[in-house]
Amino acid sequence: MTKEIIGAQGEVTIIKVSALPDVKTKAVERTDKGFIISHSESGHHHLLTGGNVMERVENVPQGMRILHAILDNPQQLIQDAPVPHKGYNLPAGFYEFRISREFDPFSEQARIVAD
Amino acid sequence: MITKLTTEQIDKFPAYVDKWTKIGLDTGDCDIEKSKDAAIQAYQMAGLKEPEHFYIFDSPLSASIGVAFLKDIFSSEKNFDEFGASVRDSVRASVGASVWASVWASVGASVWASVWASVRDSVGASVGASVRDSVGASVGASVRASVGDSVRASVGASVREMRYGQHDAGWLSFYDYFNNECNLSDCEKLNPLNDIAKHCGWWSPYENIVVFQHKPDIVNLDNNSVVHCEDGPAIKYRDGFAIHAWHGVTVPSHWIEDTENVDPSEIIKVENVEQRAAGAAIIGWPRMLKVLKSKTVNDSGNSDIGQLIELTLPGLSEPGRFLKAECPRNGIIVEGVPYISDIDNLPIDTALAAQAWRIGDPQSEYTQPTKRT
Repeated sequence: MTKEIIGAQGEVTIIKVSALPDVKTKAVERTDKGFIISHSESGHHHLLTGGNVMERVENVPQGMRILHAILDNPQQLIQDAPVPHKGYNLPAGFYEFRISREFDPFSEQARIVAD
Repeated sequence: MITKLTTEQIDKFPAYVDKWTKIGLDTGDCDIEKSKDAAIQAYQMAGLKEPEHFYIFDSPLSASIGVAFLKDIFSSEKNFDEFGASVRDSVRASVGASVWASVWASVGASVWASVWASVRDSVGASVGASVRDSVGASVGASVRASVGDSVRASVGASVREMRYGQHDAGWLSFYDYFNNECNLSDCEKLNPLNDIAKHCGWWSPYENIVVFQHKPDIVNLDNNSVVHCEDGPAIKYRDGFAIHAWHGVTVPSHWIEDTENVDPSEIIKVENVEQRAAGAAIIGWPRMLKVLKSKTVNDSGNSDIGQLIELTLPGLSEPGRFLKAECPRNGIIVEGVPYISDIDNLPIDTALAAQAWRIGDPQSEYTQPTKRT
């Protein structure tokens, strides 16, 4: 499998891949603007405007989220915020989205980056 | 079918953005009489029985607690009827759906999209996404922090039963434009909600009962039209309920009101990375790093990749390791990393290795994105 780093939007790293791994996944929540790639407590979610999106549920490093997407048509990765991170136009294809994590030295646990 | 707007119609966009932004950000008293009249009309428009009882509260927080108490009193006192059920959704849905369908049937997709983007989204960005969402999040947090378990569900329910009044300015501006500039008279069904937006803050419609709220006394935004104030509350209601914010990010009040005495270790412990970045910007990174005793372990020489630093934190026997890098939107970010990567079991001794760990890559396979937004 080949992969190409497209870029990063805040805590979301966008990777174009040649194929999707054979792993267990679950459905991803969707709003009227798109699939929630990275959730924000303040509602300023990172959203993929369309496609078929699923979240990997096995072999995920502690504190991370990894999502896979199949885009039959071009879509956009946007942030729904008054002053958003700039968006990405994504051509059709297979994608992996890695939501970054950080380490809490007090609990000695990795956790997802909260935005 | 309107498939294209005239130049004159397009030129009216800014006037509607201005009008509805002013309504959405207006401060001061609720005009109770005008709000009552508008609410009665809204009930009539929705086919509901006219309300007979009206209450007024100072803020969303006091209204949420007050309504919970009112419900309790109504249910326990024999002289009172049961507190009516919420008609929050009915008030909008019965009217909103038909107006939406009417406008959708009357204008082409490009006209719809153009007015949506130029009017609704412009108003909604400051009034909705910034002010309304900040108030909503703070009300929820205040309820969770200050209300006991026994009544939290009841108070929480009363928050969910509120409509946004003036903070509905975004979507109301969309239909107001079509009503006035394109003669789509079905939009007049929304006039009662338009009037409520002009005359009161949030409100809660129930069977036979309406609860109004005053508007905030203070609303401060920055140049990007997001909530912000460097020396006081960004939003404040007359009962003292206040929201402190730094360029759109809500922060604890003492970070703004007592900046000199904020403990940098408190900021570095905050889980929300936006809040942490805001806190560090408020007190300044020089003070953060000076007080926390920092040591640079590795400097990549690239602000995107950043530096690996060690911070001495109260309560930890050894310094914590952190990646300090530049985020195009949030400014400087500082995120914790472990000493050893759980991916390849190698020490994290460089900023690049820290970048690899944060997205779960082995150091040997990691490539730093060339584009970051």
